[in-house]
Amino acid sequence: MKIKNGFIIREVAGSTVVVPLDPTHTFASMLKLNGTGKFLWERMLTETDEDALVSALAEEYEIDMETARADTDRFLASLRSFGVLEE
Amino acid sequence: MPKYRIAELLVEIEARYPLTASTCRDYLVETEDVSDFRVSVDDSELADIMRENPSFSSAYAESFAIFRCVANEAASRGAILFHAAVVEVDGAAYAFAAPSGTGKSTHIALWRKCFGKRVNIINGDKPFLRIKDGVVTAYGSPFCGKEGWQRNVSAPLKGLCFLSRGEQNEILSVAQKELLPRVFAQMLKPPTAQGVSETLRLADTLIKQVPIYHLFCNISSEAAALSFRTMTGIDISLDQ
Repeated sequence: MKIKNGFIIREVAGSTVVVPLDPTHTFASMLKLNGTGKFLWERMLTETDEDALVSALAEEYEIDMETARADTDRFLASLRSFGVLEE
Repeated sequence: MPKYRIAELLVEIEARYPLTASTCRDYLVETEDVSDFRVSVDDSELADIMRENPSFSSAYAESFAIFRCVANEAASRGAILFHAAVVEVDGAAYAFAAPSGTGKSTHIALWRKCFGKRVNIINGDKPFLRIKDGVVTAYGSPFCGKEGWQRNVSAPLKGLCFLSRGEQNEILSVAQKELLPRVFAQMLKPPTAQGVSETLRLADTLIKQVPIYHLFCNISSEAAALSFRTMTGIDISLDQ
């Protein structure tokens, strides 16, 4: 899976935000990402899979695999709901 | 082909109907300089716009398409169309943002009525904002809303105020987490990566640099006095 083309990610006024290039996209304005979200998003700019994301997250934040999987699942679910993922 | 200087960009516009040239006449320049970009509208684009907006005349559809194209091209070059009414006081620009019909024009007309010739319009609806020498600056534009309030001038932006109707007059600061979505919502969304990047860069600088308020107001002189004093820092009496 990876992030579809057509999104810009930037640091703005202390927040990480994602903006679609298509103004008719389901979130026409912007998504705000927290630290975990930004970390995962950047890893999904190239093709990856859920297991790789979970391991990377567990290592980066020094958390157990179970917590990392729950966080990753939640993030992927919200990305799916916004139509951002290519699977 | 006529050239226009808009927000410091030199733009060549090819239009078949005279409406566009007449709307942009205050921005016309005589120069041999090479333009930053050129804009024209082809038949199929014109037909598309008229299909989506059956009430548009051909001339209006053409100028609508040209303006959209100018705004998108300008965005890639750092000049962002910003939905707000902007006035100038003592060389500084102050912007009022609100959904159409809330009373932006009414409020800036109140400033003019209460504080006189010290208050001048920059644009009633859609000025450009860009960063000039590190400072967020408001520029007049030919796109200006139904009142036709626009002047070809520029001034550093020293205040932005979101406007809502209220029974009482009250001016508040805007919560940190609301700043970016609110500011970004007023900006034209260009369809290119470069344009979106420039839009976000401007939003970032604006939030760091410009005091931002939320005014709840009625249409009394007190409403104008409250926003004027708060935004300009000028302690002026209404009786003056």
